[in-house]
Amino acid sequence: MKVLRFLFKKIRQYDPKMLWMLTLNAISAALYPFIWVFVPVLILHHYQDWQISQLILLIGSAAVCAALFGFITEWLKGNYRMRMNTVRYHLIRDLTEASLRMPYQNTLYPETLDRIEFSRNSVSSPHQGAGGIMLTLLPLFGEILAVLGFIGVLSAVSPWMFLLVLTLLISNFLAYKKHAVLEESTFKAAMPTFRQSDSLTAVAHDPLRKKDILLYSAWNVVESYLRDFADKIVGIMRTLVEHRIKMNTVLAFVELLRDLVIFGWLAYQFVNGKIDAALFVLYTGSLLSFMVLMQSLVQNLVTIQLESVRFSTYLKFMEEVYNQINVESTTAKTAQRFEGAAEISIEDLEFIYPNSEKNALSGLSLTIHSGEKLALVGENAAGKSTLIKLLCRLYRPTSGHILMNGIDIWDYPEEQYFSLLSVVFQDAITFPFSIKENVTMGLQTNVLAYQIAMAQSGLQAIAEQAPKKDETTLLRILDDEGIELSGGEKQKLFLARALYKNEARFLLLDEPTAALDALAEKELYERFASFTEGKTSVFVSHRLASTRFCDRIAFLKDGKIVEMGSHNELIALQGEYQQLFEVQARNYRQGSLFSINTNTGLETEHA
Amino acid sequence: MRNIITILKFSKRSSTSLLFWLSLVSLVSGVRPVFYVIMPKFILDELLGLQRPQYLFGYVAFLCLGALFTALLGNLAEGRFTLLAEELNQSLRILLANKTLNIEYHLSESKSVLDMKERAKNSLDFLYQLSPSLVSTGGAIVTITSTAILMISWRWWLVILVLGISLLTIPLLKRLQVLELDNSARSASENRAFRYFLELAVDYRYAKDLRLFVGVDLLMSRAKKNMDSILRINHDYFTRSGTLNGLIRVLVEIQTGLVFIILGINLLFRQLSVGNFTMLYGASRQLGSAVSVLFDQIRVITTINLELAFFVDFLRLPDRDGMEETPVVNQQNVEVEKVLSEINEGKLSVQVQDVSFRYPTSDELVLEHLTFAIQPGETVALVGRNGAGKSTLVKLLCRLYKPKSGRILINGTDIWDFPLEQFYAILSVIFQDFQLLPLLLSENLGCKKSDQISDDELARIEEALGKSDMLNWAQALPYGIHTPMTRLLSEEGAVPSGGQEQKLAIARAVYHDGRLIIMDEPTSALDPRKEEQVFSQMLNISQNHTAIFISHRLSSTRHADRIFVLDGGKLLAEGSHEALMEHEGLYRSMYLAQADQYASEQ
Repeated sequence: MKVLRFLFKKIRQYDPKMLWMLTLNAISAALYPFIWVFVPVLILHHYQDWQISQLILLIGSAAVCAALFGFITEWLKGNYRMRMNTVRYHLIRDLTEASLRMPYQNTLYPETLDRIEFSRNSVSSPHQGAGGIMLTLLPLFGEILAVLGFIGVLSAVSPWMFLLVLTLLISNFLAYKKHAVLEESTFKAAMPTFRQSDSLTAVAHDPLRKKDILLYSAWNVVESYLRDFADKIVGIMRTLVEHRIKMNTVLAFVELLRDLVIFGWLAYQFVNGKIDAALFVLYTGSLLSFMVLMQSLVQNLVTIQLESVRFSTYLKFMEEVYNQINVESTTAKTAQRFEGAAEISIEDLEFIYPNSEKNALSGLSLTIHSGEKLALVGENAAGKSTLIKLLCRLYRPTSGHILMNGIDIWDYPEEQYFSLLSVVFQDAITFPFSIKENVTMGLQTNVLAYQIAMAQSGLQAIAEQAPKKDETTLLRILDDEGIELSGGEKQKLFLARALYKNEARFLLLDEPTAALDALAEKELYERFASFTEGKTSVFVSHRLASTRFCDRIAFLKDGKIVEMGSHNELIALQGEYQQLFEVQARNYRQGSLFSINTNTGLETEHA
Repeated sequence: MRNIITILKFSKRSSTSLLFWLSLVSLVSGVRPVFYVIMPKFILDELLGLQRPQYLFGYVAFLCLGALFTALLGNLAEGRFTLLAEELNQSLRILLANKTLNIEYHLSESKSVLDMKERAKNSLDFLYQLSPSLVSTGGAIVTITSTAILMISWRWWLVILVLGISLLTIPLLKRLQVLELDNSARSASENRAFRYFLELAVDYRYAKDLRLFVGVDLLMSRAKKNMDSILRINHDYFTRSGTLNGLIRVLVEIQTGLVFIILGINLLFRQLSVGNFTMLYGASRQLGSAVSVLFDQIRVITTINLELAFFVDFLRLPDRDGMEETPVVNQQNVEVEKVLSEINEGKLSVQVQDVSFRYPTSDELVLEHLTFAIQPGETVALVGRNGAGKSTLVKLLCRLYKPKSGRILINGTDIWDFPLEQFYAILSVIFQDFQLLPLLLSENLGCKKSDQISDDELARIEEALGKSDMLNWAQALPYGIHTPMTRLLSEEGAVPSGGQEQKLAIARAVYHDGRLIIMDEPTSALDPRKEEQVFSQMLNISQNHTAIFISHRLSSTRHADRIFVLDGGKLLAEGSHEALMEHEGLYRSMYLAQADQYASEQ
């Protein structure tokens, strides 16, 4: 019931006209079946003493009514469906928005992802979940009204006849319900197969994968998996079809029993002179219509019940997300006054990923002074990217604090914190929007900030080459004229996006030069000072030479800072940093050559 | 009907069994309503005139048993038919995926082809409508024939009247069909775009940036634009189609009324018995509705037929060049055989002769009159600025694109003259954006289903993993080298890190054992130690092979036998590291730009 209440609330919100459509349809759909049941009865009853004109009048007016109700029902069917889709699209959109606004940390939990997937399934098809419920509501109300009418007729025949019919229908209901439950549980159990089949098909359809599949002739193995999945899916269908055949067979016998009883009893009544031919026709006619109607009512009730269960996932997910968002926004948080670059202090920070026993960060403490340029260095998996995510307020620390100007970053209002922060992520990807939109990421453009960002990042020169300048769409997914940027060009784009946020006081750059050529890299370093001006910045790079532009270097290992100081200090220290630097540096020295005959670069290093 | 027939021919089992069950379902579903029309007449006749109780009860029993029999048969046939249709649908989906791989490379990521594929995929959903449609059509034909016979036996013109009025619905149905196709054409692209935005909800590659750059509003407003335009198109369509459907219903009701009046008058003048009146009334109702069902289903079927045209058209898109094996002239064949055996002996040279290229969608030349040669066993590095054409050259070498002019030769034979499969066997490529498959590790290397991999091949897979230093990692996995990559197939699947993936890609290239190794930027995400490791591995495996490397890290490429410097699609300079460093030029300035940063402090 809660689900239905929620759905009606959404209908009122997104397309209230659906409500009067439901009412109107209920009335016309309820009256329609009676017309062609009663007319022949009246004729049979009176044909012996009627004039032609009376006959024509009766049939004519019946036809007019039938045409009117018929027109209304047909017209409403399409229109209602369209409106149902409107509501459904809004629900889909709401879900997308909720999953984009929920705390990022939730994405670490597979359960959350599964629930989003389930919720999506409950709104993505017009026949399932919310769509299924709304589509079923339309005939349902008419059927309920019509059934009430028929019950009136039937109880005039005989109350126990009515009871018999009702009992049979309840058995029908139970049978259908059992089948529907089986169908639901079978499909649920088969979900992984469907998901696997869909994902692997998507792999085969993915333009980015095409090269590898072709060159390694991998289609055969993909195809044999797809065939296995197809066989499994057909197997699942077979189970269901076989069950349905069995159920329908039983139901056919139940129907036989029902028909024998009803017709036999009516014939018996007639033979005994209890009813005349007209009543016989009326009763058989209305009983048959009643059966058809009840059957469909029963199925519709089962549908609504099952689809409500499916749709309730959506409801729960949305409630939880907005509760979380509300908690976040009510426990906050007044905007802080801010001048100059930020000062960051990290106090005893720990972070453990869910389902993992190992600390990604353990007891990390660090102060980044206002206006300082700090380099974060370490081998893969030392914890650099995790630290960046925590600094971005994407994950909450397991324990410990990150303070910005003395205030815990989680105590800033979200918008303010994000506006103070600018980031270039290592694994950022472009959106299929225009270059400009990819930079501003918003609906309005601050022209001055935009021009500065374009110039400083070097993106300006790239945009000028593009067919429609900065209005050119990236990627061809949504626009045939779209262009593809190279790795180096993309990095300039992401840099421009970070620079565009001109109130930012804290800049995080995660591997911003990995795909740049040597000269572009050098150029960027030379401009580094100019765009970090007035900001505190953290720079992550595997190219250790780049860290020499920074004031201090923090060397991370196993989630802790093991060395800290300026480049010269750390070289003098002869520690981990110096060793790693040497690995890269020696290859640039004249005459040096790392051994190509052994694949044990690591061991020679330690030797 | 042409497309439907084309599609049915793809059925794995003979389409005869599909047709058999289809006809059986149609027959049964068509006969059932007629049965309900005829039997009450006999019962009524008994009730009103003949009054023979034993006959009466006999008819009742016959009616009920007949209903039972048709229900059982229809039920069985329908189940069989559903399964066959599902099988067909599944194999068509696989066919579509296969075709996607085989079409021209540059077409695969363009919007128009993606839209076309979208419609092709959607048209398969129409197949689910096709089966019930065919069933109703068959049923309607049976019903029409039998009720028409019933009515003709009383008054032939009654049938004409009913059919005549039904014919009036044809123009309305035609109009409906036009609307429907127009709607699906207009909304396909918008639907895809809308769905794309919604996919972002679960695509966590976008999630960080959207949050930090507060891009949710932009994204949602773009999605709303698509949604609004879908809704507008929908609104148009449903308003008009609703009116047309309503009018069709009105015609049907008028028809019922007219027939009813004619029958009623005949009843009044005692031209008809009550039993016949009831039967004919029922028959005309059934005939009328069967005719409108028939017309409606014909419309649905032609629409499906037209939708399936997208599937059939997609299948007819040109395959990549070289996909169909053109019968090669014998002499040439012998030559290719000779070259292949040379290559197997380890002698592979590459000549790029005056190659120019531009992408089909652009006017700008990416490669301009490029000429160079690589000797057997030589290791060559391609260096240059971003956008110099290095990755494009790799795509041309891999036969993903055809040069606009000029030729690429391997041992003197144009690469486009090799049979495709054999050509791929020559190459071991690691692309900049390489992708592993979410299948078993062994299948990723062997490119075969794991149960088809022989012991010998298994040993070679392990050897390849060993060479790229991943064997220990692989053996520690829950199912060893048969562990699924990513969690798609199993919760116990392994998710390799970026560095591990890179090494697995190398292992795949090693196992593939192509004589020409091409590696494009394989180390950009690695820390210095892993980078060095990977590079020494690569140099190691490229011994005795002809190899091409691309990297921005010039400390790594300097050890190549020769370095080609590309700029603006042209070959700017070539030579060993030492030779190139002797002159002022792009290479020297790029190298120094990086090396200076590492100059010692003293």
